[in-house]
Amino acid sequence: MRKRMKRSSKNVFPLKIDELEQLMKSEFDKSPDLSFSKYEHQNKKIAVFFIPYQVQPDRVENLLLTPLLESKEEWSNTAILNKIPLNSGKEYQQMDEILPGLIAGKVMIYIEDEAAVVSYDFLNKEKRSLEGAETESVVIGPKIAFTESLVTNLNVIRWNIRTPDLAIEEITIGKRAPREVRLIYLKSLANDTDVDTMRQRLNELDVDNVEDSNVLMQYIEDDSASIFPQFHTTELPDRTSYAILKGKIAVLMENSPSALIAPSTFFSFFESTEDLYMRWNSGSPLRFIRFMSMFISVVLTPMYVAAVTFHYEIIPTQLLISIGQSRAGVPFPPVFEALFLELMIELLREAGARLPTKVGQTIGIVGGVVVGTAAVQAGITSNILIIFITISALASFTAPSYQMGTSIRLLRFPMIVLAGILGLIGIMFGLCMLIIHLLKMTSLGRPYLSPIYPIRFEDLNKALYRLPQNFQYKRFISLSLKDSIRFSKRNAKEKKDIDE
Amino acid sequence: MEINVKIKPNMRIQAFYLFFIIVSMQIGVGILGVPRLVFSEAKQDSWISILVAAAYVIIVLLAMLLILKQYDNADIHGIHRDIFGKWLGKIFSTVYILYFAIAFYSVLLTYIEVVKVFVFPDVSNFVMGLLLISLTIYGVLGGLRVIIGVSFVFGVLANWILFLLIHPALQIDFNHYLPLFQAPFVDLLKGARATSYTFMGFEILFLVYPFIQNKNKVRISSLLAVTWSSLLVLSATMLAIGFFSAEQLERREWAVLVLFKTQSFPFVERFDYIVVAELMMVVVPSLLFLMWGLTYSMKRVYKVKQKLTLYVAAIIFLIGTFFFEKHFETQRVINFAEQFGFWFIYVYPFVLLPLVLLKKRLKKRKGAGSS
Amino acid sequence: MIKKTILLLIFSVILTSCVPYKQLEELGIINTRGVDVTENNRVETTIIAYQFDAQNPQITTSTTGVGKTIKGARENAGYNTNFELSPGQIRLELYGKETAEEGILEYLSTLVRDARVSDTMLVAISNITANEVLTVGQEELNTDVGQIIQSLIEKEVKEYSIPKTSLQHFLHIEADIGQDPVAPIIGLRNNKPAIVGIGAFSNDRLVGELHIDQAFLINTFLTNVKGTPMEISLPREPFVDFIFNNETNSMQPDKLEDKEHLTILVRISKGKGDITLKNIDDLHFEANVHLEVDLYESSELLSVKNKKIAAILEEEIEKEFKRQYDVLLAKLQEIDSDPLGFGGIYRTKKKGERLTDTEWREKYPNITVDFNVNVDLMHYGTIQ
Repeated sequence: MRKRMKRSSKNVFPLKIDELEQLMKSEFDKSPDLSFSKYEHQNKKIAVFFIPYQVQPDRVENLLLTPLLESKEEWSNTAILNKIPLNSGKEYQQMDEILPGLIAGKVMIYIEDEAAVVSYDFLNKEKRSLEGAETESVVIGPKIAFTESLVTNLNVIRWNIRTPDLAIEEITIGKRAPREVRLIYLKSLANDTDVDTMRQRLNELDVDNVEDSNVLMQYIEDDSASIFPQFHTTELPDRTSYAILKGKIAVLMENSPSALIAPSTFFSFFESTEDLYMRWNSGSPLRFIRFMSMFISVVLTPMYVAAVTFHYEIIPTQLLISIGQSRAGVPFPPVFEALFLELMIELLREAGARLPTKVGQTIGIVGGVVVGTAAVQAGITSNILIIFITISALASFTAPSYQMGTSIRLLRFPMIVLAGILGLIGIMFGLCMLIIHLLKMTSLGRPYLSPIYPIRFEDLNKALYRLPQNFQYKRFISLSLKDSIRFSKRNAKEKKDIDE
Repeated sequence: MEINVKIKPNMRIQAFYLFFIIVSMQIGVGILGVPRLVFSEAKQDSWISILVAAAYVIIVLLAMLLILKQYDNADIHGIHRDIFGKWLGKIFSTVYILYFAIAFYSVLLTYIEVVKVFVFPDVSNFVMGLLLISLTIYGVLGGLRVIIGVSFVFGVLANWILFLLIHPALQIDFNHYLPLFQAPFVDLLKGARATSYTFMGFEILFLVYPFIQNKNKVRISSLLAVTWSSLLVLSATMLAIGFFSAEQLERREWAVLVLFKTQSFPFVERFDYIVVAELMMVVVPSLLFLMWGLTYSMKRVYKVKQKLTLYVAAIIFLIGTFFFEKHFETQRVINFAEQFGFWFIYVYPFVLLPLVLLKKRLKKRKGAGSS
Repeated sequence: MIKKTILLLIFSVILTSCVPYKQLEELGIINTRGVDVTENNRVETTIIAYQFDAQNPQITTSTTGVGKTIKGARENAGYNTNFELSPGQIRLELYGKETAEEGILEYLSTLVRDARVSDTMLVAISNITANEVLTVGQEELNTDVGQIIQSLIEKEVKEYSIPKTSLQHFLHIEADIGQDPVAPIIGLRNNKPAIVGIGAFSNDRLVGELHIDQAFLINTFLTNVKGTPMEISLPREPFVDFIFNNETNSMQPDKLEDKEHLTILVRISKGKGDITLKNIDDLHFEANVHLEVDLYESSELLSVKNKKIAAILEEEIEKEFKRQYDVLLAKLQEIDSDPLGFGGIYRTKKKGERLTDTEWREKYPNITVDFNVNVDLMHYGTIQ
């Protein structure tokens, strides 16, 4: 055993307590946090060592040290495991298990000359309590958001989906600083190929560390050059469980308050759980408004630029006069004017996101109202353009996914440039390029633009609009789930005449 | 080169999409000019000409399907190989490749000219060519699945233009269709012949047939496609005849586009500009299929990598856009494509059909003799 | 990725150097254009254009230019202004009387050739020169006279009082064999522009001036008219028994001698005329006009108490309309203009050779038409 040169994997036991102390001190020589205490009990030397701030000290004292030292028992490893009323007892023999165990909040007990160390779990993880969602705020429906604690998040998900059918696979990624990742899906529903693909991508990930699930998404998505996110990241447990119950796969990560949902389609980014809680006839128009606003957000300002730069013919005369008057004193070409204003909006948004909430609001008012008015009065922008820019900025914020909203907002810039170079033809070129790009994209190997292409008429009802629950007796066909029937279709109501 | 093509299961497509493939190939720039061409031959009886043409197209299509049915999963190049042998087959297939190239070129030039006349008189051919060809490259790189997706999505998205025709449709002068049955039979046939450039495009069936999964739906899907395009051409022509007086129509190059000039909404005064831009969505799918046909045929016949053909062809076409700047030069390219296509698409299948049937019978007899 | 970026860069460099800008505020956007022919066959154009200048709050300017062609005249007018005059937003094209009498097709076809020009612009003629209408009007009103003329015409078209006169309509009817276009005539009344009549064309030449009320008669054959107000004079004779006398407070007729006519104002809620060819050899046509009218006003207190008076009223209106149609046709035949489209009907019925324009011009003065007018009086308002 000693011949194995790799330090962490050698089995050093049995050894004397003092030797162990020396060894541990040398392992932790740059961070002198390790608490290593030695006790004499019934003529046996016992060492208890742990990292104080990783454990809950009073629990260690009450539940472990007191029973251990006040008992008359002759302790051995088996005796400890059998007699101490704690359920997380484990034996470790190798250093590469002991060291991470210490970091993960384990308390180690070593009785001299034993062949292993006994450990108990007393993790004291600092975490914030569950709070309402910040970035994806909802009006109706559950409002809690994920926290940075994986255990809490799993707890929430488990409580949402109370079935043993829920599979939660554990995968550790990151070579230098490993992190726990959980792959969550419904065993009886999720498509096996998709689960395998996801598991394989996670397992084969060969990186030193992953900061957050949003970073994880970038490592494992299909096309990293695309501007569109291919997996949905959400901070809502509600939304995550909804996706899992639909047969999708979720990935949760330790220390990350957002979940990944895969496979995602372009249209699923415009889906909010609120649509479900609303009745179908008010939910569908709301979703339609979101699609509309995406289109408006991409096209409105470029249209203005194209019309004013090249195609004044398409503007109705009355509008032409007001646009012309407001443009009269502006010294820049419309492209630069539009880019300047778009940039200003982006500045406001960025500043608002960085500043504390209260200051952020003030900045919004100062930037929006004061600077806007001043810019128009100073004659460097036209007021009609300000209206268009504001509408398209507002429209881009309607996307329920922050990632998608950002992508759409950024798309405007190349579109404006194209409109400024080639007018309507440029815009159409940009749109064609965009649609071809969307058609080429995949998410976990599944077409991104599904269910539009490849067309699945049964899925349109869920992806683009909603019909009454009675029509939604099928799950997404395009996901090729194991069981695509949600419930048997209720029999059509008997047709009744009036007054029967 | 094998006669039958083996297609991986994930490359298979549903016959449903054949409708969009054929419609997007047929309805391109051709439909813009077709009313004038037919009208100058058959006058107010143009509708008969178009119906005759549509019936003929359907017959050709049925002949093509009959040819394809004689094989398990063959495309035109495999059939050439089978019927004419290695060298002669290659020559025939090369003609097919040339046809794709010329058709691509004519579509490209026509759209560029439409843009120049209606929107940007000063734009250079090169810039427009660059736009369209970069779209083509980007799309073709995605493979047949993406190209079909483009034809499907664009096909659906471009349809809203049809609603803009309601306004001109309400202003039709029905007297323009009268008196009926005045054109002599020869003129009717000439009128039908004039639609040949518009109706071209269903020959893509010869190439995509092996990719189709449910072969039993091919017939209905392709027939519906041809019927739909014929209906579109027919209604565009009828609208133009009703809307314009005879003298006007004979002088309007792209009568269908001018129809859009009268529509206006409170927020958009002129729709012809938007329609010309929107036409890109109609043109790009044809360009993609023609380019795909070109590259795929090169791979089938000469085993050249599709990517190589794509890049080389794109550069050649891009340089080619320089040479035909004038209207009548563009017309010459279109006329050439039309002549070329006419014999190749409308006549050639009837030459091929008896040969294929004969060969099959011979084979059967041989098979029966040997066993 | 780097390759892509380089490609994109090259791309944008090439693109930026291609299409010249036509920014809105750097253009003089022509809104109304007047065309007159002066001596030596030169074209004088009067242009009312919008130009957006930060220093000048007045956005409409008018300039004139002279040239051999209409484009040349525009170029010439361009020397007077620091903005590039561009025709994409012309909404009204006004031709002087003399110009219109010589034919306006050459001017119209230059408009059509330019794809940027709108097809929905209005075509009108003036009874003096276009220049005078536009400049005097502009000075007098101190606003955009072009806009005012447009709204005048558009209002009347909306009421179906005059036929549609957009460029597309005008050209389409002009080019149809067997039909001639009409266009409103703009004149000055108290130095302000007003519609003073309707010009009848023979092909593209102005050949006669019709009364504005006759425009409605023509329009019934061109489209389904709806909601047109109209004043009609009827003979007083048949109504004497039904006129309420205010002085005697009875139905006794008043002094008759000074009044021969009773004037009523009706609103034609629906109207439709159609022409059938009764006899192709005699060129005998029948024109049926069906009108549904509401009574709005009458010059005297007419009481419509029962069916009988309604029937009389209907009959008198029919008679009056028939008389008007006959007058109109006589006038049109005299000037050889066929806006009602008898030739078009004849063409559709004619077998063999296609009808030519000259052939119809010869035949037109000899046609006979029976006008049958059928009037239904629908509502009488709140009083009887």
